[in-house]
Amino acid sequence: MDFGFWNLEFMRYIRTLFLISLLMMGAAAVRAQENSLNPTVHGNFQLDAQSYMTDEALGITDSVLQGKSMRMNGYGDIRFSMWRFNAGIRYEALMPPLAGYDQQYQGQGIPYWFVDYGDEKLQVTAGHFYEQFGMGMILRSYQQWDLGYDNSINGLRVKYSPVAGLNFKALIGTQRYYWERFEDDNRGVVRGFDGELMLNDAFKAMKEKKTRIILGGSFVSKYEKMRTKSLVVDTVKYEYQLPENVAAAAGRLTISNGGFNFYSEYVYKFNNPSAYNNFIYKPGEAFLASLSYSQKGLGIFVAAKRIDNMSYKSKMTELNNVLDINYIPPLTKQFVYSLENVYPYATQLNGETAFQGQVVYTVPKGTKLGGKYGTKFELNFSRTHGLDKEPVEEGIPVDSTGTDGYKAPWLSLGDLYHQSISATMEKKMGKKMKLILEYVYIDYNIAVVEGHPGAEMVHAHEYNVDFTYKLTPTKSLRVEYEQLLTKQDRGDWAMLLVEYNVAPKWFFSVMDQYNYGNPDEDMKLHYYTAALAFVEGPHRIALSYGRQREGLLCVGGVCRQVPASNGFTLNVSTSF
Amino acid sequence: MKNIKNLLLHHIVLVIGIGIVTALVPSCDIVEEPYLVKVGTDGGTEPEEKVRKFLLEDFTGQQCPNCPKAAQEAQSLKAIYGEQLIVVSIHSGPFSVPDDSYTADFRTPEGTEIHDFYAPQGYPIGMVSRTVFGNSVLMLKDNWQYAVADQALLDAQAWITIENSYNTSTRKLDCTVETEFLEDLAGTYNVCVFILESGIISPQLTSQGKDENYEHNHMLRGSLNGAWGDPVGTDGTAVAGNKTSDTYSFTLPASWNAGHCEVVAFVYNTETLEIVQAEDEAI
Repeated sequence: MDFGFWNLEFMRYIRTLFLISLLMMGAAAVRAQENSLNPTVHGNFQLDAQSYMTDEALGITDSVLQGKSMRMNGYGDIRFSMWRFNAGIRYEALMPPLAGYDQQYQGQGIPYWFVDYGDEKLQVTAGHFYEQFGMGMILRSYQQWDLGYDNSINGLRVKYSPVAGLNFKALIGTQRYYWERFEDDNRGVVRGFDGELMLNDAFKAMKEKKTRIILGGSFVSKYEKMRTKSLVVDTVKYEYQLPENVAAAAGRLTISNGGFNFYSEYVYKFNNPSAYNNFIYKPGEAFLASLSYSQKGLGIFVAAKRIDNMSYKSKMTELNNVLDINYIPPLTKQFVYSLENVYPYATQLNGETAFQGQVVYTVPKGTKLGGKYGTKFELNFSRTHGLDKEPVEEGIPVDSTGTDGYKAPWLSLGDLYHQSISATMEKKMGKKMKLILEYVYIDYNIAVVEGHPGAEMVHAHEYNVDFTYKLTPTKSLRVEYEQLLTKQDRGDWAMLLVEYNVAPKWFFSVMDQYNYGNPDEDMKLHYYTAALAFVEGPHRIALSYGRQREGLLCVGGVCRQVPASNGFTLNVSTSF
Repeated sequence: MKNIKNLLLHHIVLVIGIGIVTALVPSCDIVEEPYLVKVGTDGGTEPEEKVRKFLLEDFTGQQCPNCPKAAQEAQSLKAIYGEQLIVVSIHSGPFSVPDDSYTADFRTPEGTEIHDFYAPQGYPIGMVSRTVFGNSVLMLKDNWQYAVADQALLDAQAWITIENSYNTSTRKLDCTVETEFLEDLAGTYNVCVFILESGIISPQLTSQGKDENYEHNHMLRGSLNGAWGDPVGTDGTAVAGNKTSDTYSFTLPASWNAGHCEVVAFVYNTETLEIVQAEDEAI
């Protein structure tokens, strides 16, 4: 079935028709609404620059730096809106990208622009856009500047609400691939449709009901021109039968009543052999369910998910953090303190089962434990396992290319990938002092998460003390002490941070992270940083100098590897 | 006016909506087994597709704590590029000098010559087909993937066939290397033939400390025709369709495990030193 060609042709036709219509519509609108036009322009700029210096202890020599002693990531985002029209453009310059970012982003130009028309019922976007269906497990395009991640879709999107409570979205386009233009089928075309029905808004009989129900469904398909791929086994050559169109379907349900909220989503992905899954043909599945309850002073959250072969990219040979069609949310607490993030969890798209539970409780003020201001407690537990993989047939090793890969029973767990148990207490003591205490226990399968086969599982204890003292109404001092204890990997760490804040303009800090327990004597290093920042209205300028430790930086389970570095960092940002 | 606009809008929505939905309906190809279809005949008489094969040379040493990570990176690239990528670990430079705790000497005269010619300043560091990537031939492990990806996009300009004949009792290896140029190339070309051994268990310093049972793979053990090889054919010129072959004989030292040895041959431009094609064959 080769409908891909037809789709592309159809897309071109639609694009032309759309542009002509847009012009006509624009002209009509200007005549009709001349008196109510009120154009506005908004924007923001950010520049992150870093100098890189040699540091013998960190192994950074001139040959490592290769003359690139200065690197910069910068962007300018400008939005224009008038009546029901919006337009936007983003300029980016990564020359060269900061160390630890994908160096293929080196360059400058305009990777993002769009024009958009919308009223209460209809919204049409031409150009680049970000979109999410449900939790994103079937489709999510987004941008994360800190990760250097951008999988925006360039094409057409329509959102339509024919009646109250019913929303449709349809889109077609290609995803951002560094700075490469879409040509010669260098990536696939993504097409998606999503429908959402809010029963309480759609049906009169349910309008007054306390229980609110939302149903949703999506269908996404990727077309990628057929390529030939062969495999030679014992001198016999085989050719892979690859699908040109890879589809996925999803259904979701939200039920809420008072403080209770239940959410569940299931995604089925049809055969999608790719470099990421070693070209196996097993269908992919993703399931997520969460239940939360909240009332004043109390919040409870429990969730479970199971992911099986869910990497879904618009190019089958791609392995980097680009061209992802979907996004798998992590079920781990997003930790905020530095040493907790020595062992962050990266979502394993090829398969994982995870559970999470969280309770936040504020002991009311006036009680013995609550004191004058109340005391907040938070307990969190999360555990992630791999899949328990069995061979598809006797004699065929698990994950063999060109097969169904493996069988994985739903209720059986594989190796432990990650576990965290944490307890936090936050207490305000008088008008001037605030104290946060936190303990975290982490099990971290470094062999899987960081790809070091054979490396021993890391068991780590982490303690944080965070104390803020208000000297005057505008001046405050914050001290943070962190300690990480582990017998594995790089051993024990300690950290001390002192921050002095003169609100609202000045900010100073000094910090040292000390890897005193490193089994390698030469690597028992101090990673010190001094920083100052100046803020005036929307403008912020920050300058820091110091050493950065090597490690993973993760946002929402998506990670990049940050190398060790030594140098000055300058951040400038503003918005208008 | 407003009615016309609304009518137009709803038509656009209808056309686009119907278009996308109908485009989606047939948008799934379900592949039935067998997923792999045999295209070559049994016994492998089908000639191998002539693809670019490239060399990743990794300057390493047993006392270089970060080198195992580079070896891992090479191994993961190998898993992706398969036969197209040939890895050579060259024990050379200050970290490869033996001492009391690391007694083995894995240096070779050829490896040292190549090392000193490119003169790296830090380790681990490597070269991909000795081709400039970014602004340097030498690059850190994090850049290997990009340089390798660049190489994988190139067409094969030459094709090498290696035939090994090994006598287990005399430990004598006869190795015939045939080179064929697939297009006319400017300049002159040399062919160089290395011998590599894998599965060597010997101590290695790692970022976690000393690993007594570290497995060294793709280790350069020597060359059958020197560090820089010989001209291809008589004068090294590259004419499309020309096939030339040379046979090399070599007796394997008793300490080498012949079952873990392989011959690696590559052809490079004598002026730019860039490798245009490589090949490997187990003994």
